[in-house]
Amino acid sequence: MTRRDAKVIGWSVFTIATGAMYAAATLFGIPLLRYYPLEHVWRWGSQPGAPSQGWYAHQAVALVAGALCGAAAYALCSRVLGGDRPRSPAFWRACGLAVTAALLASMAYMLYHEFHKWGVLV
Amino acid sequence: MVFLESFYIPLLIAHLIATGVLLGSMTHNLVYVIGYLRGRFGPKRREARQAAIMWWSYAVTYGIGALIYPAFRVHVRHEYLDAHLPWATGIFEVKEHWGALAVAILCAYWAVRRAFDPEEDRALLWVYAPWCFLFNAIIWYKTIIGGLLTILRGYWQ
Repeated sequence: MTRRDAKVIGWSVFTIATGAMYAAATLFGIPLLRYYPLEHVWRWGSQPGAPSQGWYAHQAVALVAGALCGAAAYALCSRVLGGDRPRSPAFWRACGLAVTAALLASMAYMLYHEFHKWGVLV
Repeated sequence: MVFLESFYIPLLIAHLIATGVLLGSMTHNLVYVIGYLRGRFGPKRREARQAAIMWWSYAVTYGIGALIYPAFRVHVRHEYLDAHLPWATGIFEVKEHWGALAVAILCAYWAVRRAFDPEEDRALLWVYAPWCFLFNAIIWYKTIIGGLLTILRGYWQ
């Protein structure tokens, strides 16, 4: 596998892992750092009645987790599976389909979660 | 006083202008990528330039959006949408979640574009083109929903 191939796989894993971590944090209700704009403070978890924003920490956690997974995939592909033979077109077709399916699944879960929570289309 | 509340309108206008640049660059980029899929590789340099403009314009749009979010969260969402139009909060939340995912997609898109030549490595278009389509779909959703929410409650008294 060439270094360029390892790079593309690393970035592919980064996008998949970011989407999966973002959805998982919602699915499992992982308590995150939240900003309370009326009080100008950051606190863990949600307090009923007070408007707060978990989106900043939510995306930071997902992007950091995605970056760690992507870096691990890049290191694995470039060092362990090294070499200079490029991957086949069939491999990239499968890779593209897998990345697209995983991203669409993450997006669909977020859509379902919010539409269900806020009564959209019900 | 909520963070940057006094600058909400100028920042909202700057957000709109940056969104316009983003829409222009990503739509041009999409047209070029569709051309790649049809075997037309003439405008490779222009496509790469549009990808770079996409990256920077999304960074600016996203950054301004994050800055005005506290005022929006309190005065628009908490005081109006949550109570009177909960479905609007639902579609807004999807916009924010997909927007975070678009950050990851665009970082990967730009990095991969700098690492390959679409004409010589055509097989990699199987990975590259779907990112382009997904990013366009997400940004168009965000733009339409953002416009709708501004019509519903663009500002507070």
